[in-house]
Amino acid sequence: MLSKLRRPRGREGIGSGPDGSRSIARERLYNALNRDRYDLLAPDVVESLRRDLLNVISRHLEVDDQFHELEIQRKDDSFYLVASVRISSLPRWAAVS
Amino acid sequence: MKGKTIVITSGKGGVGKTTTTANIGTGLALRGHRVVVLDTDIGLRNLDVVMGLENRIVYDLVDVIEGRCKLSQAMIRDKHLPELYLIPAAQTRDKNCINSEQLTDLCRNLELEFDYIIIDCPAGIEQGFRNAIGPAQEAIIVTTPEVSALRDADRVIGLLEASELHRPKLIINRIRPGMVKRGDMLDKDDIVDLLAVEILGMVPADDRLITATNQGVPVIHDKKAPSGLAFSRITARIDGDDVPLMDLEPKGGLMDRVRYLMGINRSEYTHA
Repeated sequence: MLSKLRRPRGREGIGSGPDGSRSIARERLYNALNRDRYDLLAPDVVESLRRDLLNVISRHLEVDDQFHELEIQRKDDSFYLVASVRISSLPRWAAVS
Repeated sequence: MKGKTIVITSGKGGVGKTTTTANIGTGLALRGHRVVVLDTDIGLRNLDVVMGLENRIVYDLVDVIEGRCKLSQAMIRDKHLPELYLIPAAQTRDKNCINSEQLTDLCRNLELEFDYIIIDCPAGIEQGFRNAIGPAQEAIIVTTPEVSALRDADRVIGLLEASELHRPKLIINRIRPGMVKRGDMLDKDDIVDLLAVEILGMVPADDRLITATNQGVPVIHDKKAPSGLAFSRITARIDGDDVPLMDLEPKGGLMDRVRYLMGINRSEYTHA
């Protein structure tokens, strides 16, 4: 379900002339699939990712449970996982190194 | 003996689901298996005409499910193959008159006596689709090399995976090798790249398929039809044979092209 969608590679060789409609179809399909998958991405995927990430981070840092954000953002034709987690207090050794 | 139930689906309509169902069912029967093809497109049945059995229908799928007839009474024996049967859809009802559990029970019964049950799924992703995928252990998605059909195929793959039908396989129908060669049609590599799905086979656009369908004969019976050959190879793969994907381009010069057009001498094909 979460199979990767890779950006179309430019390909040389037979038939892929600059004016062939195939490359246009490929780009349009790529964008349509990205858009659909983004729209359909289940909120629980983000939610379980949030839980897991907070668990991992809190093994190393003291995390403020109340202040964190995690979302998948679309910018141009790319997608970004954007996380922002407030740290309650830095551990002493981290402050000096 | 325990049979296998396979659903043929697509999302988008008009890409060749019913034709594919008829040919895969026929192909498996030609290989000596006992096969039932099951039309679940209630209200818009067509598998009967594609198989050339439309004049033999007395009872249908809904009659069986609602208990108006015995299962055996709704099974229509194929004209050519004695081990191939069609269960037609009802034409005067709609998709909501049956449910997934009823269809699953029916298929579990059929699996006791048949090697393969091939389900022709209606277009769309609503109740009819849900009913049709319910009983299946495997799913085959039919698409054409067009943005719209491929986009719908991607959506259907997601829905199948969510329903525990993992790793569905794709049939790319109506490929026109000349257009692919000119760079005017999406090819297998584009589709594998973008959809990340296994290709079960590729079927070339073929006039002979149209003339065969006009006569109500699955094109797989036509030994000279390139599409029939493609369906034979697909059927062999379904049946567990290791058949390489056929490159839908004749290699070499004019004579190869002529042989290709005439559908003879399969050794002349390049294999992918």
